[in-house]
Amino acid sequence: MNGREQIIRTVRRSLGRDSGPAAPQVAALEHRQASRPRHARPSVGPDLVAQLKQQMARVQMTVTELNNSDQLGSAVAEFLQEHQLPLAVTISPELSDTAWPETLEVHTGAARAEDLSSVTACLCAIAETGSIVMAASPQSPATLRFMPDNHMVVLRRAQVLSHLEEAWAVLRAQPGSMSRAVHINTGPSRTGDVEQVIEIGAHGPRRMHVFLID
Amino acid sequence: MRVRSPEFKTRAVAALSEVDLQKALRQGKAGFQGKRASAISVVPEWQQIRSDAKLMKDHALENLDHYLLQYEAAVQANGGTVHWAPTAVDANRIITELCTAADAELVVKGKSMISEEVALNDALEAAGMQVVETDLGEYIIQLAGEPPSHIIAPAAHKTKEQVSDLFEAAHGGPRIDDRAGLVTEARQVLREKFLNADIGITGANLFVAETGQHLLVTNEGNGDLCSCVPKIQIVITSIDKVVPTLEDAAATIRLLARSATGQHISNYTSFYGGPRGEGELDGPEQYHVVLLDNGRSSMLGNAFKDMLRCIRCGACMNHCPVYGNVGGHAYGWVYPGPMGSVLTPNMVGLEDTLDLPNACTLNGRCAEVCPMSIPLPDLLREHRRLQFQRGLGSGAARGALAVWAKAALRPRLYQAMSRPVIKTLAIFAGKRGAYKKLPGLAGWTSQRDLPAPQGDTFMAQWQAEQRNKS
Repeated sequence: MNGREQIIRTVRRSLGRDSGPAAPQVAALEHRQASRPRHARPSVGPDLVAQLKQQMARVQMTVTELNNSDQLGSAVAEFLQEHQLPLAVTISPELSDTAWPETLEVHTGAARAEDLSSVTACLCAIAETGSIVMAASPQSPATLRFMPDNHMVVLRRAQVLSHLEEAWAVLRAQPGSMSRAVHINTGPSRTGDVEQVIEIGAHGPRRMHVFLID
Repeated sequence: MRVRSPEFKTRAVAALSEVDLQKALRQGKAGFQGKRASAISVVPEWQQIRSDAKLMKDHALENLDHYLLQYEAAVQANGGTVHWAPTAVDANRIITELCTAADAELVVKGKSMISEEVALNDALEAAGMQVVETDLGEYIIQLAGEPPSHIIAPAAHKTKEQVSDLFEAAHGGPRIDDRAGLVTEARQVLREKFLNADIGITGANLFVAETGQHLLVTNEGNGDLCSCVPKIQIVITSIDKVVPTLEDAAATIRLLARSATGQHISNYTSFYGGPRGEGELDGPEQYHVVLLDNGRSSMLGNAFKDMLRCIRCGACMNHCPVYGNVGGHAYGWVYPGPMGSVLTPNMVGLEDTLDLPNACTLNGRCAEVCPMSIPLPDLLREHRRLQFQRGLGSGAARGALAVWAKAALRPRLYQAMSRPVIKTLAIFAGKRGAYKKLPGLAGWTSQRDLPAPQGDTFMAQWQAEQRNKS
């Protein structure tokens, strides 16, 4: 008997059955899954963007508001200058149509060991927690959100949702299927492992900055 | 890992006089309790969120076989592989074979209590691999050669000075004294490891039957670097962690961060479900999940079933007066505190863990703060009952209990025996109302006073009261 059979058999014995759930029960389980069980959630205020910004500030995320996406290129350059960073970014392929200033060195692709700053788009944001949701794809390499010291994210106001469950709906509506990797990032990397005192910049980005576009 | 739970009493006594440990425990306790309380105070829906999650998890466990098989099929559809490990030995064999087949030399790991439970690092090192823990707390205790003392803050027992000593010795100096400097040095040292690792191994906070994804929660981002950078991703988790849908995962996520660290959500809340897809520029080429049983499938059918709802947040130990004084190492195995005292006897046997269920005041705070409403004090009492039933434990305690039980079943005899003792104790205590010392009770009075009875037995006082009324 292999490990799989052994485990499933003991599970069933503990549940008082010899085989899997009976057909009506399986139908009930499938129905539960298809109908998306609704659990209690913390309430979210009517102004989603206001709550998002408030939650982001709690976790040391910074935000620049832009009127339109034409301003993105220069806003990225300004952010780098403000923090005295080299004028170089690695961007995800999904942003390659952006008009970048000539002074900015732009590389498109996955993160390289030497990259200090990255810019990516996102799938949506969650007002409940101040989180940015990103799904890995050929257009959106996951390493860009973890390896560089500075992660900049482009977010549109219309992408701000109330709860995690709304993000699941967006994910399920994606072409193909659920993404292989879904990242819900909420602020720069931190650790409390030395005497329970929070330090920013453990392994992931030291800064997480959002460009919020109308 | 060697089970040192039989040494609980001596190690607990030693812990009480360890200055650095006591300092670290005081700091940790105040921080954890305050942060949790303030995170929950802003969520009026907390009790409803909690009871929904309990019902959800009970449902998942009632249909565990169905959801495990559905999960396996979903992982396969995503291009990954599920491996089933009935025991710790099986889990270590499976992972060692995967690493050996890949000619792995360097393995980076995210914090995983399941890997501690099976002692995975020992198995991989015995097979000639270098294993590097990348969670800062785990890295610190790996350098110190110690097991974790807390399930979410493994180095909770270490002071900053001790971390400075460990880093200076391991990294070759110069010595760094400030916290930010220590974090930066670990970041630099470990970044090299991430970039050169052949395999990344992490645990999982839960896994989703519907999508074939596992959830990995960290604040440092080390788990994601383990999952995104090396060519092979291995996940080790246990069968009890399945939830049916993403909505059910969200219900758990809400409870986990608030109960553990007082955050509204952990910094990195990530779902992974397979190897890199066509055209992707990064991500692992292989995705493996090892599902460990190690006694859980049997617990599903006995009195400890409720324990399988545990989401490993650590709130029970953060609010436990015993843990708060002796720390995690005294418990002698992987899981400390109330949840550990329930789990450890189930996993390593009642015989080696006799003190654990008894090292509990039954004050009930653990059950009050448990986000999954696990009746921890009841489960600890059940272990005590099983110990007694199987004739384990000290003969003196068993004898005394047997005598007490016989007397307690005969109310008149019990009254006749207890009343004179109680009245005498009340009279001799005088105005103080407590004893500093009593012959034969040094075990109690060496640490605290024994409160004296209040005049007479409850039964006698009750009868007097009734007479006065009529």
